[in-house]
Amino acid sequence: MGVGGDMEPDEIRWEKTRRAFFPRPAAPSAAETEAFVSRVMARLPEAEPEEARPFWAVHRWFVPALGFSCAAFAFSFLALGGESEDPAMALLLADAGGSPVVELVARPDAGTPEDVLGLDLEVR
Amino acid sequence: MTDPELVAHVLSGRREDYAELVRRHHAAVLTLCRSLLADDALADDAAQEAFLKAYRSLAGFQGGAAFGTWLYRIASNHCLDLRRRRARRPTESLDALREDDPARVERLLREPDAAGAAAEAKDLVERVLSRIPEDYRAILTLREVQGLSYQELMEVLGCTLDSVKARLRRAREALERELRHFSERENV
Repeated sequence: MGVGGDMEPDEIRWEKTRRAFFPRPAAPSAAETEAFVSRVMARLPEAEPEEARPFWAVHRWFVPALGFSCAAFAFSFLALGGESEDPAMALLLADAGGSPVVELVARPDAGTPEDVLGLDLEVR
Repeated sequence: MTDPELVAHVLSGRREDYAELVRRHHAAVLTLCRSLLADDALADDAAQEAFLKAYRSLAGFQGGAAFGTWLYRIASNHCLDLRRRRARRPTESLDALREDDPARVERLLREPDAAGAAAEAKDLVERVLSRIPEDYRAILTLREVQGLSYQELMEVLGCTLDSVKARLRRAREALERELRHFSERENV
């Protein structure tokens, strides 16, 4: 088929390029198509639709990621749990039994910071 | 029976109905893969993979788009992935092409039908096309080989009409720019 007619020069040039660079490949025969259909259908069991499979089977990274997260969470409790103690409470409990600190806190009139500071200096 | 009806049958468990969908769209998908990959054996494998991927994600098929264009999108993405993997190999330099092929390119443009049949010309076409970006090659193939309309290109490429037109224009310009290199070399 010729190129030309009422086409603009740019269109003629592009039509030549198109025919040279984008020829339509020959269509497969009916026999080739049937052979292809058989090959695809034979492989369907290995490609079951995603919806039919559980989430963890489609996204295989999920199970190890979940395990790692749980392990990290548990480890954070074990390793850091001891440090979550209130330091003030620890001081009180450590010195329980007549220490100046306990006496200071237990005093009914030790309600202001000035009292605490003055008595603290006196003790030292 | 229409494509959406066949899809509904397959999703309801009648897997054998997928054969009819494959039968209907085999030629178009294979043609697309051959044009994008320029290798018949590779194209056949790619077409199979495209149909299997489509089957795997059939539940995600939206009836708004035609099954064919949805399938084109899967096939063209798969072929582009394959080409990107192959592109890691060193490409031929433009200078080497200029040195070797100006006369062959001119001959190809003068007699595209005769030249297109020759294996040598096919190789040359592939070498020139490999010099333009992959997405340009894809849109040109979908438009010029598959004959897709702008509307279908929008569905396959997932972009707007303006974007389709702009990409098509830039793709043509890129290919013609590559060809001008050869012509200029010939006229020196």
